[in-house]
Amino acid sequence: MKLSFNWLKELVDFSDGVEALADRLTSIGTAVDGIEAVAGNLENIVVGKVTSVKKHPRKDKLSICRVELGKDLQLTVVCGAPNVREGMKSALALPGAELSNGMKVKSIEFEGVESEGVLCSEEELGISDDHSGIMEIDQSIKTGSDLKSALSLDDYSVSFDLTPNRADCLSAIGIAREIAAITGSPLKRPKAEINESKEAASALVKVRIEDPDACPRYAARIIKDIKVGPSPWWMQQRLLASGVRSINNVVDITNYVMLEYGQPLHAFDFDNFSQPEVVVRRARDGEQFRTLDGVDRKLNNDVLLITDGKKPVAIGGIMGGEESEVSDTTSVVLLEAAYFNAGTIRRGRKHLGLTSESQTRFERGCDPNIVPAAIDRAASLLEKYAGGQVCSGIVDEYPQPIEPLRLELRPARVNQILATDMSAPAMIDILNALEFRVSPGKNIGVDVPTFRPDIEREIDLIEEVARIYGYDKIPTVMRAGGDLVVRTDPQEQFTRKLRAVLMAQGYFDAVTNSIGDPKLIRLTDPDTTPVELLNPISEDLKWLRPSLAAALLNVVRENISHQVRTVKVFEIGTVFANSGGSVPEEHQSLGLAISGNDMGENWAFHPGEFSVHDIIGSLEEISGLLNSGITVAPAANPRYEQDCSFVVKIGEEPIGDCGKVAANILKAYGIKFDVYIAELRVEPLFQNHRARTFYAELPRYPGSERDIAVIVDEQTPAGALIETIRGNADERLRDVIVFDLYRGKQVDKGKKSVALRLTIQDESKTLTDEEIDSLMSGVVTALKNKHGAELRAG
Amino acid sequence: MSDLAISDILSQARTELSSCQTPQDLESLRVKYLGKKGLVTGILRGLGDLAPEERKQVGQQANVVRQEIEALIEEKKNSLGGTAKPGARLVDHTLPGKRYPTGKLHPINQTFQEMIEIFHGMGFEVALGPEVETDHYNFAALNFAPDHPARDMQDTFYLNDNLVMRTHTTPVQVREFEKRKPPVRIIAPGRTYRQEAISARAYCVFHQVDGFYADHDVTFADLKGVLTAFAVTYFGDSVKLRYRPSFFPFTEPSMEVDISCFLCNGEGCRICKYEGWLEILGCGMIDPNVFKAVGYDPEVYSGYAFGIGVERIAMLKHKIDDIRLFFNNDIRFLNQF
Repeated sequence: MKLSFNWLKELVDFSDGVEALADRLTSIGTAVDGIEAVAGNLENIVVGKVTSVKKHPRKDKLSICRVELGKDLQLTVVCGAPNVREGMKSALALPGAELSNGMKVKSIEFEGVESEGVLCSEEELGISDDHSGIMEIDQSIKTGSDLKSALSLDDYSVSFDLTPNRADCLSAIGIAREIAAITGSPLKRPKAEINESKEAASALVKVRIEDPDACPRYAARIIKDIKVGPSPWWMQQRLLASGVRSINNVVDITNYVMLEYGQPLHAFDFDNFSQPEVVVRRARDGEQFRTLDGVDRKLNNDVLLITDGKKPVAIGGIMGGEESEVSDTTSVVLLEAAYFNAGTIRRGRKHLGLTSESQTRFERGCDPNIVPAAIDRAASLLEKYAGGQVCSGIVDEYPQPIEPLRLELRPARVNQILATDMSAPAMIDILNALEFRVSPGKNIGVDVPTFRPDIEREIDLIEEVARIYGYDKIPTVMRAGGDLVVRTDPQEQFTRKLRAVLMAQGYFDAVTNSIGDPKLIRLTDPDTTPVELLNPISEDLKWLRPSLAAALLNVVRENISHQVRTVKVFEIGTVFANSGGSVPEEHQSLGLAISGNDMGENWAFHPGEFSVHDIIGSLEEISGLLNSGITVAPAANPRYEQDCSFVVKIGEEPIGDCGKVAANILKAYGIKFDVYIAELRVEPLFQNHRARTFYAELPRYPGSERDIAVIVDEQTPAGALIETIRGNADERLRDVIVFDLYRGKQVDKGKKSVALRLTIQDESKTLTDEEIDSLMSGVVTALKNKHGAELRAG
Repeated sequence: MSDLAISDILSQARTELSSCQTPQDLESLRVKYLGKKGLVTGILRGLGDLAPEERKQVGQQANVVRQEIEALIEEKKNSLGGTAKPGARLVDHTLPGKRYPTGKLHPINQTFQEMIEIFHGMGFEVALGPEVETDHYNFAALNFAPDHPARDMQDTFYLNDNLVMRTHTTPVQVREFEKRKPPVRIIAPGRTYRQEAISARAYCVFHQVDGFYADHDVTFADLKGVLTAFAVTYFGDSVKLRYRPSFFPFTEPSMEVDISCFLCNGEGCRICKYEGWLEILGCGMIDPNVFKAVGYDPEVYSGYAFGIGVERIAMLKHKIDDIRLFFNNDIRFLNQF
């Protein structure tokens, strides 16, 4: 909401400039989020009267004007505007003035004629974007006067960013009340003086409310002899500063009073009514109505209609109708001020998808008891500025008056919550300043004014006291308290360790969207039963991710497209499964994705392309955090190439999968390089994590290493050889590693050479060569018998 | 026989030694004094020509000097370092070092960890909750009116009438209050959602750290204390706080907290939009209706709650101007943190 700064000054006295006022209002919760000067710098710009207009002798489009500034002062001005004419008043910029486009005004010669100033358009003055001609100024404005003060242009447009609970602040009086509360100055409400005619409004119109819950109050006034025309300049200017365009005097007045009191008003062309009646009723499902913006609206039972008993004339609280709109020929106006139920307006707005200034105020909550004051104020302005004859009385239907809410405030409670030391009288002063009616006592009795529907409980009053007292004045206390045993979350700690292990291996931690594209998710999770959003922002962000695979492939693709050739990322995040229950299942998933070179680019290494062994190596590193190791075994999975697809297990429990991403998936992503992925559930990792390590005594006697190279069939897995070795050695065999793998000239086709290093060590003595040889020969024999392994010579 | 006195030989050797730069220099010095024809050797050789009593004295002196010079040469040799083999290749120290690439923690997770550590130090435990929430935990139990605008389909992702993608981690507050009895002091870090088109300023998922404390006699002053401690720890000692009354359904009184811009010290700059202040969080005293919904008596207990946007403060701290950078996971971006 925007408001004119000068308007606020008229309603309450304060000495602050606009910036200081904005800061003070913000500090009590009436946040100002913008201040804009209404016009540009208008120094040396005056109101001039054009006394003569002659054509320029050499330039057709230019006129030579004489402009009067005072009794004996006339200047010659060359002007190119089409609308310049004798007798008009306009804005004359004198030498030294600066226009809004930055032009500095000085005396200048136009083809032999000296121009002593510039007649300006509204755009050149920075008032509006109208540049069709020079500004027209009302004849009532004194010739020669300073433009800025004569036209009230020394004003600011102040924008407010109000919280939704503060409906009372959607008006100049509401904001002025806040200013009054912090300055202690009284609020000066505008006066409404009306010379009512003898004719009673009640004889001209009847009001009937069919649904008093939806419309608890409906008040109408009849004003005759209206002359529709422009509204006075000061009102136009104030509306403009408040962000509202001027239409005509009648509409401007209803807008003006709405901005002033916060009470929406509507003016109907009463001659358009087919009978002298106002009936407020609910619309029928499917009923049609054309609103004043020219749109045909399809209504339903949630929408409230204002009718003349035969046809609808407005959508109650939201927008008037096109037919009954005030026009240039309107002479009798029915002025409406009503109070509509906030929920009714909200449902109507939702159905229609239609918002308005009026709807916003009713939906947030208006004051049912401000209706008479607001309608009188508007009537007085219509009398004064639209020539209206106001019929006597208000036709006011208000079957069940809404009374102020009565609350009690305990001063001790205020100080207990705020940690302050305020006295009860100080609290009463604050509440009085906010126009709460207060009756002192041990507990303070408070009548909550009906313009504050947000105040319902004692705690709401405490907030009122606190914000006016000043949040800054409330002490800042740092103290211990509560339970001193502050536990760390073991799952969070484990996740940290997991991240640390992966980052040490070169993986970057990724954070991706948990809402994904069904088309891509179907590729990596073809069997998923999706968890679908009811109201997605787009078709390609519709499913909650069932796994991290799709998002990680996307990260790989995006990086490759930015010439990042080596991508090594992981994510730990929530994934969702439609388990058939009432709530989707959620669990934490760990995903790894790699593509590119295993050691990056460095002169000292000989990088190779990543392979699935890099992923398996990473899983082995993760195993280091666990009590039992992670193993992988071949298993078909549509995510992966058939010959490189594995299930990941802890013991016999499958906890995830890994492999080389299937070619058809990479093609769909447009990725031209191999990608390897692993995805594991975090929960079983956490369940198996080593929470505590018991130290193992370090060996006291040296160990021995023995290398053997065996030639076996290509189909024999290295793991089977290791298993055989372990099965045929005793506990003195500490470790077996594969340190080389060879296929080539020195080995027959279909065979490979596997080089193994065994570490043999005894706890109680240094082993002799004989003892080691005996262990080794048992191992070699077993390898030969079980796998047909031949010892490789050399 | 040299003309130099024995003591002069030693001081001359010291002087020459100090100007030795290379092992070769040292070797020449050794030859000059201790070699077969060296100065000290010469004196020792000439001992036979001296009278017996003088011989003993000079001999002792010369031996002391010899030992001294030997020790000095040895010391100097150590200080010159190892000897290079002739013709050895120059070590090119300007070649980039041999690095085993390591990854980095995502700036969002860095921020989470930093915040968790700060609040842990102030006595807060961590609690987590589901990202799909019921209307009850996300809204109703937090005192959102049935027609509150936040419940609109334009603001919140729905799975069905009753299930939403949580719009804040505040539901964890309700869940933990139900599980525990005061004192309860917890932070709830996690992922949250909003139904909003993706732009430089907004993303449909984001992250939040919610904090709350319920106990006897928890006051507004305690809230200001814990937030001041957080701001000073995270943004620096010189940061000042500004409190603005605001409105949230689940707190009363409510406020938003700004910090003085730590980039310009409140002078005004592009990041703070020349206002000198940066909005960092919303908070307030826990609304009595929230306590009632979990069966705590609001006359017995009071409490505070605050919610901090992780992206918001990470963007401020690192001067990041596009929220999408967090979710693109461009390694060139991730590698900067």
